[in-house]
Amino acid sequence: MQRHSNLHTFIRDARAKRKLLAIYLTCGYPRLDWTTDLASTAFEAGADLIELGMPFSDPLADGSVIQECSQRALEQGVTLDFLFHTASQISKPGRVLFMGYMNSVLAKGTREFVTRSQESGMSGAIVPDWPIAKNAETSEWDEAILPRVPFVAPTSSVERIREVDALDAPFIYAVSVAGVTGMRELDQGVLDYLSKLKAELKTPFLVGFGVSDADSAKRLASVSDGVIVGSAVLKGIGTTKNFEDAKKFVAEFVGSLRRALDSCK
Amino acid sequence: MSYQQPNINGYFGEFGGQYIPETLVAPCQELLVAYEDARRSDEFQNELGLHLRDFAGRPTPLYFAERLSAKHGFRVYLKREDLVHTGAHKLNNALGQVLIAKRLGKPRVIAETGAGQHGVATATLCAKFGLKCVVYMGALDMERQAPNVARMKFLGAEVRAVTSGTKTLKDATSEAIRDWVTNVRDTFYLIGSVVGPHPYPMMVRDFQRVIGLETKQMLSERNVVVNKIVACVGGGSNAIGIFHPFLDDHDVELIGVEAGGEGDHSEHHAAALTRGRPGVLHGSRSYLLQDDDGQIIEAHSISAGLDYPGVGPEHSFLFQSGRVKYVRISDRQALDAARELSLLEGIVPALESAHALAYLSILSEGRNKEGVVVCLSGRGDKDMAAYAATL
Ligand SMILES: Cc1ncc(COP(=O)(O)O)c(C=O)c1O
Repeated sequence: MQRHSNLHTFIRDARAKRKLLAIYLTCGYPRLDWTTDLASTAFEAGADLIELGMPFSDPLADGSVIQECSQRALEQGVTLDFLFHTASQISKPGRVLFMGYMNSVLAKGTREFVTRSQESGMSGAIVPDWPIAKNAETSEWDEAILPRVPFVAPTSSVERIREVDALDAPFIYAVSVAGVTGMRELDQGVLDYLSKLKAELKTPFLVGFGVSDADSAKRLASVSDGVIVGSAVLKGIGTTKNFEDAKKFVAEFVGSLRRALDSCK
Repeated sequence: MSYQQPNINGYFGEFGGQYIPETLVAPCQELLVAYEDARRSDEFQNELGLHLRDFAGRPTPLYFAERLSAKHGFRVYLKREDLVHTGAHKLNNALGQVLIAKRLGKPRVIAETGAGQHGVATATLCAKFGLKCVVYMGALDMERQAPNVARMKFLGAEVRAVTSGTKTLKDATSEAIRDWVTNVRDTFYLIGSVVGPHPYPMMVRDFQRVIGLETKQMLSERNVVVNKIVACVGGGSNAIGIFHPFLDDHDVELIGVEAGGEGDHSEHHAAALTRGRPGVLHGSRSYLLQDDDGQIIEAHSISAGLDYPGVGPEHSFLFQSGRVKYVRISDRQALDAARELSLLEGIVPALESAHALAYLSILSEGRNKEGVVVCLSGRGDKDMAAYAATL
């Protein structure tokens, strides 16, 4: 049933043409009113997907960069309502996803969360502390309306990987290393692990955790369907002095990632 | 419905479960298998029993507090967990988990700590068994529980200060989980209370049940009947440990005492059950202090070991089912109770345990006549600075 979600359609079509590029932005970082424009800039520079991050007070899957961005965004006053509003401003069918923690989903109630996300034009959700499992929330969540992107990690067993693959998700989020989000050196072990994953999975998969620049994006994309970049973008935004600089940085950095991925095939 | 075990997915009623990054799914499964295996192994149980006796100093006494009883007008017994080696019940659990870590062949152990008691227990056992030990502790807690920081370091542990967020137990726990995700292949995460993803709440409870089992046996050997058992609730491990063997004894009232902080007129408290609502934090679904948007609200308690915005999922279940009654005691009441026990019985309790003791005054106001057991979860050496300040 969920095959027909607009996220499934977008991924299927785009994947036939190029490596996919997903950009994560913490909603409201560094200023509430910047996110809409930074997201549009990223789209124009070649991002396929925007993962709109809901900052959480206790982001246990995140490294220091996203922790700090989250704290800063919360200080700016980001709420779920604000995130839904922002999503509706940048909405492109099949191309904007919610990313955030389970307690943000539960705060609205699972059903209302799905409805509000859909109304604001989001096409999927990534919730890192909600692995596939049998629990009450799973049965209340309407995958047909808002597909969830599942994860695989280097510790996932072969059976687990098959179980995730069988979900028929629009794509799988492959964590490159055991760890938290953030930039890190890329070693051969990671590439070997991803090559094995590629042989195993039928579902498209994007690699996240540890993409730091165009070069690492290219190497990771060569053994996957594309990459997810978060900390490196946010860190760069954090070093800019004003809104124009930030937009310029996003345009250039995302553009460089796009070109690197396009030189991949 | 049975009170005894979580379901196959780790839920006590609607609480518990596993809300964890995918990287931790396999390690939690590995832990569950290792624990189930150990639980059924005679060899494991014998080894645990031996160390509980000769190293931890169990069984701990069930002490009849004569002058305290005279003061309150009913019989008061103290379960003396303050006499466990290192000064609190925390060692019971740390011992069980260190033996599991050894079975799994993990050379590195990490822990979070609030009051420092769990950190000290973990550091102690890592020294005894030759394991590398890293303890995460909020920078604020390192200040207010300085003696325990020195003890951990002296025992050879590395203490890492956590400066993010509220700089207390909540943030130390998040940081420990981040370390675990990163170093999962060689690292065992030794959680200090009945919190975290399944199987931790069940496993930690099982290791703390020894408190309640001994209490039950000692009461029956002496032909003593009590009708109330009182324990403080931070994450809830000493409380569930003493309550659990009594859950089916319906003539025994079980009372969990949460940290009321500055009192009911104030937003500064740590009463996750009685003033919070359900949500997900640190791997399980349970009652939490949070705002309308699901952001976690800072907890406040004079006692570092109770200063946590969540509570173990089994307590949420027992709260919802009504089997256990949960109440609040303020910072001020806890300090008074600590002084009372010191003056009347010559025992200086931990600030955490003092919350349970303070409930005796509420009971005497209500003209209670029934016998009461209080879980004296730890001793107060670590809190001397706070106590001295009241003199
Ligand atoms: C002496 C003592 N009692 C109680 C607690 C609270 O923990 P729990 O509720 O898990 O027993 C602590 C925690 O540090 C403690 O040190």
